[in-house]
Amino acid sequence: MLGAAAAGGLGLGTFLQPCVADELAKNDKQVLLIWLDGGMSQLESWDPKPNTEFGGPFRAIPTSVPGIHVCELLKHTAKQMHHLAVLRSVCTQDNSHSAGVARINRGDPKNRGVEYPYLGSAVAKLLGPTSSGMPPYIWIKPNSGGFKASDAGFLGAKYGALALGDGKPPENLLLNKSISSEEDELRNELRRKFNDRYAVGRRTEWTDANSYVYELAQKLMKRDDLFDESSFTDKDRQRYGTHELGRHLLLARRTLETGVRFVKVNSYHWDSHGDNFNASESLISQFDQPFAALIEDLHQRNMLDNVLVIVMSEFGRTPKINSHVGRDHWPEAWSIAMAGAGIRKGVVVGKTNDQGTFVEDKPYDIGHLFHTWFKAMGVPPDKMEYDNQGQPLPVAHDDCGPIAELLV
Amino acid sequence: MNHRLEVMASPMTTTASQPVIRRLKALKAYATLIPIRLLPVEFLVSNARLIKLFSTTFDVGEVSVKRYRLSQKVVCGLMATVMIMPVLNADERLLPVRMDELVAAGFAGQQPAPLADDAEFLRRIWLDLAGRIPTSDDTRHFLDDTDPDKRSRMIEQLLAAPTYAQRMQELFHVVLMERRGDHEKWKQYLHNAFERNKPWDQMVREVLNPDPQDENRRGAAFFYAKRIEANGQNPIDHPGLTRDVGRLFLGADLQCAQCHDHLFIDDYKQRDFQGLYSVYLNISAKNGPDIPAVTEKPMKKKLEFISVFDPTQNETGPRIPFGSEIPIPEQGKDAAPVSMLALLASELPTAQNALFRKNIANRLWFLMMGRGLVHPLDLHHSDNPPSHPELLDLLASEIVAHQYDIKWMLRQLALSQTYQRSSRYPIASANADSEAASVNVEQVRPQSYLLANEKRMMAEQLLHSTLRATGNFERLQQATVDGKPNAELTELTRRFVAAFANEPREPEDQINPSVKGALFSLNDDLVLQLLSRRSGNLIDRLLAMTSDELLADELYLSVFTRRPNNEERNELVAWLTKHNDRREKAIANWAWSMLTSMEFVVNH
Amino acid sequence: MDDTTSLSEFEPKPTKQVIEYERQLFQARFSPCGKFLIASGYDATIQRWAVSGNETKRLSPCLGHHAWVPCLAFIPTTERIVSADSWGQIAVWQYADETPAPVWKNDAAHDGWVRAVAVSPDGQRIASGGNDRMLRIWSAADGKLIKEWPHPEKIFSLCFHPSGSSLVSGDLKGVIRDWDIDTATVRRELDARVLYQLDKIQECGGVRHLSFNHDGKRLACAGQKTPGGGFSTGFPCVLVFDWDDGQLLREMQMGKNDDGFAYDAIFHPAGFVMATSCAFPGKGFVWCWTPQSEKPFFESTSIPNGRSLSLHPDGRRIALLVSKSANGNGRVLVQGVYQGGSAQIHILEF
Repeated sequence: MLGAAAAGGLGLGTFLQPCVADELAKNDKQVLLIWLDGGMSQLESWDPKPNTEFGGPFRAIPTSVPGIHVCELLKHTAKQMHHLAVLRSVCTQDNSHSAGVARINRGDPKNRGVEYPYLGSAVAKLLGPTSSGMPPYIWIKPNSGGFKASDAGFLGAKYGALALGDGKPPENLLLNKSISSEEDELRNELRRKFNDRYAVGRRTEWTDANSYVYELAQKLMKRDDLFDESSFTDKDRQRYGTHELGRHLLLARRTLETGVRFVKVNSYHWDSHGDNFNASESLISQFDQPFAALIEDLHQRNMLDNVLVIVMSEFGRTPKINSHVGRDHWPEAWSIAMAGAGIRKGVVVGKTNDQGTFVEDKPYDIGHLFHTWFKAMGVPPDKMEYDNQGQPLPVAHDDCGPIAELLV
Repeated sequence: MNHRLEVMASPMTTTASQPVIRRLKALKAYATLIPIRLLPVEFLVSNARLIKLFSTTFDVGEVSVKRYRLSQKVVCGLMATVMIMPVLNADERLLPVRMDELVAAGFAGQQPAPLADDAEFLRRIWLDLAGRIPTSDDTRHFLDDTDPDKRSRMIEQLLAAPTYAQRMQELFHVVLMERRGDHEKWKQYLHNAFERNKPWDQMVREVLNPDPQDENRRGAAFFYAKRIEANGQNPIDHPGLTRDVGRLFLGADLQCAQCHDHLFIDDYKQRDFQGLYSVYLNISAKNGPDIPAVTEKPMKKKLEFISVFDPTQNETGPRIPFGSEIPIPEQGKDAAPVSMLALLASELPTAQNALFRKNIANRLWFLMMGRGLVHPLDLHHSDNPPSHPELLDLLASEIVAHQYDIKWMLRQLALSQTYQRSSRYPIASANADSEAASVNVEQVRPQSYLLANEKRMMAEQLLHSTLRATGNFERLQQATVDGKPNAELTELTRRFVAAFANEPREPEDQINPSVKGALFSLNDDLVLQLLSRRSGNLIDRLLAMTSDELLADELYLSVFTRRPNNEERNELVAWLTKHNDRREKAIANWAWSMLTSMEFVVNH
Repeated sequence: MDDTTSLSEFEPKPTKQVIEYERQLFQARFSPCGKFLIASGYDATIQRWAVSGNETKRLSPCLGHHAWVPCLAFIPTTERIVSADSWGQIAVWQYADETPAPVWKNDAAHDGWVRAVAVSPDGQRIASGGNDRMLRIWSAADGKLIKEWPHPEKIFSLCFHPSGSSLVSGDLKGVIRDWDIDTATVRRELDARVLYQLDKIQECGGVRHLSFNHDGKRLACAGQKTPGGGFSTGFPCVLVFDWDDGQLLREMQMGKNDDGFAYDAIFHPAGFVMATSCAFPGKGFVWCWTPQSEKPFFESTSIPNGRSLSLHPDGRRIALLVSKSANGNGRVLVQGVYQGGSAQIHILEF
């Protein structure tokens, strides 16, 4: 695991000029990243090319925005199009999962010999937690949970993701019955005192990380309501669906409501090399239904102006349909959808050609998107650099800039 | 092997020379005493008989003699120490000294931290070589020992103790299996190997080509068998196995080179992956009810492969990564098929294979020093050079010269100042000009070794140490009536591993504080019960003590492996006085805070 | 069924005849008279070739569909075919006409993907079904809707019993239903659930093709056993049922778990099943298997990626449709052009 010990060293020193830091502390923007791992097909979703050589069997349907069409598999999302922005001219570099997933998640910055943080860790660092005190980076995923330090790259373990396995609360969440809350206060005060003494004369990296996880743990102990499933209504469950992604997106809504800065939801097994069209029917409906419900709910709760929502994968899928009636990996031309804070509503930006094979106008890499999103969140990238022990590192790829047409 | 004949510069009494002799013996030098009146050195040099005596004992090749000036006043009854030192290369100094020199060359004028004090050293060496902290009695004994040699003796003691084999078995289990699962036979294999100090290259041969017939070796098959067992509908993970062999035994992660030449690392080519892969495609798990095993199909033809970037058809036979192809031998019609695994086992772990020897040297360095000279440990390549190239080469050649003797290398590392350095800078003294005070500790990089690096405690080390510290070890060691291990111990072990180990397949090579671990420490009932009074445990012993000052000593020695300073002692006494009405709880909470603080949970 | 039939005469061998087509096709079938070879495509067209002796001549296509045309069936006692596409349109054509135009068509016969059509043995009625879970019966002559009823699951395949008394549907979940058309009720269900699997979060598989033998005593169902998502691994599999008692006679699992779906299985008058499967390039093959046997008597991997099999009325020739479309993550341009897939129809001969 490379984590914070990557070549290039560690960087936990503070670097924000005080006035800028204050500004950001007041910033209540949040982010929801929905990651469809394996590569959702853009041709079966955001950028349909019906009745063409590579278009597949499906029809395109109109959406709530006249002139914008999506694939019929997004029938619920189509009704929320007026909140969304879709970039159809995404063109990225890597067609492999093994490297591509990390590169997209990191914004594929220039190689400077350090391991860049994933978007969630970057936001946890740049914006910090919200005033709610909830952990800044929570990851809702299938299977196992735990603290995933490796997302944080050179930033250090502290900026990793707190992963909730299948959305479940971490074990040992409740204060042990044998300890009263005063005792708990006292013993933790002592523990912190010991740690302060330990830290004298040593690098603070590990002490900071350790303190941080205890703080998080104690905050979570106070917010066990986050995991109280009985408080979801039947209507919620029906609208989002009781399948895995439905439950996880419903939990994501609540997690955002508690004030977590960055929530990531992962869905896996989208890599339909074979039988892509039946797979897309089965999978995309599992995304479409809860995603539309989520956008609707965020809007109704007046949260959509503050929450930046992003839907993406590590690449799209080939226009060419292989003999297993599947599509393979295609970073050359694909789509990313977004909504919310700082993002224009009801637009499509960028175009692929009629065949859907390549980007027709200006192609954008993930670095451009990172610039765009940091700007949407209120972080001015040209003022922000990481300081990795004296090595300045741009937050997003220095040859890229924000995409103006996506921003309000 | 060359030896040299050396005579101690000045004569000394018999008694005084004993520790010197012992130290030399530890360094595999031959040392003896000769009545000084039998010398002068010139006599020795020309005394063919004497030289011949040493020759027959030690297969001495060239004998070179260092001349020392002896006092002309030869006094009867004094002895001179005569040594025959193995000479490995032109540089005649001891390995730890040379290590330290090469590390110091990188200090760039900065002042390193001083050597660790006895308490810091003791805790660290116990954790590294015994897998746990010492008891309060062991600690007292060591701290109060006035023998200037006590550190070397402690190193020897720990290397010879049964805890060494257990520690190394636990450690290498995690290094080699990365929490994929365990097996009794595998555990036994590892334990046995370390008990006998099996050379590393032999271990690797046995793992790469496991022998199901040999009862002592069959457990080694687990390395393969676990990785290629069926996992639902997923294809068997031969690529994962190939990758791990590269990572763990050669320090090269070839994962991205499966489908094409590595995009960033020029040294890693697709054929390096595919060549090794061609061997592993032929093996499958054949697990009996009780014994892990693999079977191997004979390799009949080369493996074809295509880069996803280049449709040219390539092919390769079995190949050690970065080596040349091993020719598939002609197999006679009736002859037993040639085993590729056997070929691999004979070709890969060899002294000629630079990556093989550098990998083990690097990993052993990492174990003791908390960071690889090449870091990450599985990314040796020309764009990721070692922080101290000469040092890595030195260690690699030394370990080869010592036949991959792991214990020997660990000893050399432990004897160095680099290892024994403190992990903290002392609090700045009044002297504002002191260089130590001027070092900004935040800027110190781990690969400088100006400070000793803090190291992660494995879940197992935390468990053993917590049980010892809280005095619950003896109770939990009792097997049940029918010889099964204690259920509470089994459950505690399971919980500690669940709370503090990494996910499967994630190497545990750095400190990784986790919310899961924090919640476990805060709220788990079994953990908290360790701090409730039970006959003979720490809380019980402390509650029986009438003097709060002595209580403080016993508590700190048990948990922190040191005595409290005055401030700490006074604090604890004040705390106990304040919470007099709930003394047991008060002690337990103070102990808990110690057990969950950095000083306990980190190997520093 | 003649158990003593010598089967070696039924090992198909390739002839030199290979018909190339520049896009991918779903199936290629000989007309009942044997003078035409009709294929429906991924390119919204229906392709026609005139067959005479060993010669084939390409004729003008039937145009007017959209996207994919997965469904094609001949209407007995006529020179007509019915076709359906993935946008929901059904059309009937005179396939022998110079330039066929639809005899009738219905653009909105279904909402979306029509996955199966079947024609009653008397040529009067057409059944259709697909993603919208409605089974519809149409008049073959003029396309009037005769009857419709909801189907519990997506319909993947349809066929009529040769007696005309039953309409049989196969769905996504591996359930085969024997429908009484008059009452729109299920007489019984046959269990083909090995052809379905919920693999992690994806519903995989389905009964991809149904066909009866000539006397209706045997039903063959083609699909993939233990189908998975991602690379769609699973074993090509044909299930043969005894129609009278509804019992499974033979589970014909073939090849390895990367040989894809069995897309087509037809009965030869001599009583054996001929089937083909297709997956990634080079995977899948043709086999012949009598249900009484435990093993196929013929299998050949020399022509992989077969999508459909059609027996010429002369009983000797077989049209094997093969998909030719490479896989891969790279962007391989040929003379600057991004390549799609194509098809070949191999004429085999007993």
